[in-house]
Amino acid sequence: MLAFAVGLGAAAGAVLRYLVDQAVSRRRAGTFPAGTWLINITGSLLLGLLAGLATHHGLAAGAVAIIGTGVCGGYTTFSTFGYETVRLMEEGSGLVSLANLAGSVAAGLAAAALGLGIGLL
Amino acid sequence: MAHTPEPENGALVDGNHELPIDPDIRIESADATQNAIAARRKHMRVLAAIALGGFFGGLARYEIGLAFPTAHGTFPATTFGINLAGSFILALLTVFVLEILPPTVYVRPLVGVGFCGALTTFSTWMLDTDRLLGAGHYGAAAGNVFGSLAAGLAATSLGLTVGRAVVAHRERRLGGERVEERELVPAQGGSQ
Repeated sequence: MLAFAVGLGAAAGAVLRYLVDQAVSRRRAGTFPAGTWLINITGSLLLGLLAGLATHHGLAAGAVAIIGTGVCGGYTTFSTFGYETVRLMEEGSGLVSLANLAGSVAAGLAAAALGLGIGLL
Repeated sequence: MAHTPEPENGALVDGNHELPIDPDIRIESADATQNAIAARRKHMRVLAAIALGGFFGGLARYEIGLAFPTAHGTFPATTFGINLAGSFILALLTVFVLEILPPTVYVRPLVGVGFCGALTTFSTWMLDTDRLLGAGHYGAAAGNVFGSLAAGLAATSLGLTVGRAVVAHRERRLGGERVEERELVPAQGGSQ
């Protein structure tokens, strides 16, 4: 039953990812994959927040599974991040590719840490 | 705008008067409305395909995580492996969708955006790394960041390479058939 709810959460996260990416792509031209970057950073922030709430405010494990593993996991993506990075390298945009790598990891780690910190308050 | 017959003017009594005054305008606007409805339905079906793929991708990640739990303070090998597998599948699928499969609307949303996108996860990768850093496991944290990056990009490249090799093999085969056909033409017709 919980697994089914996690799947539903992931389904909602995946649809949200598609809609956010489309909305960002419509507004921004350019080679940097801003949609996936924004998705991964906001998802990391939310997951960090959930982890902080679970550790220090007793957020139920079921809620963490559905919203964290389900929604945040389905919303953020590693495969598209990797695909876009490799394609940028292949197309000769090495600097943009590197900026995507460093920018995603640095901002992702900071966002998850910020979420954890807020959750500890 | 659609023409609506009014009972008062007798149009319903005499069928010959049911035609709109300017049929062209009515047909165009009706087509535009139909196109808008069709586009909206297609958009909804794409979202449904993403949701379906996302459901199974997220479910698979959850179940694999339960089957292969990793202890706190250690290298999160399960998420690492899931991300590699999803990266390889996405790269392979994208080559196939763009080069081999007949033009299709729903395979990429279902398997690529939905399943692979939800199977792999960026947020857990980041949170796990932060936790390793916070607990002072710097080696495991660095290994998680740089190991996932190196192996993830390698898995993507491998997926692209395998996919392109299959495409090239197909084209060589199909190209070979075409060459044979071309060689037959001069022999039969005596002209190029």
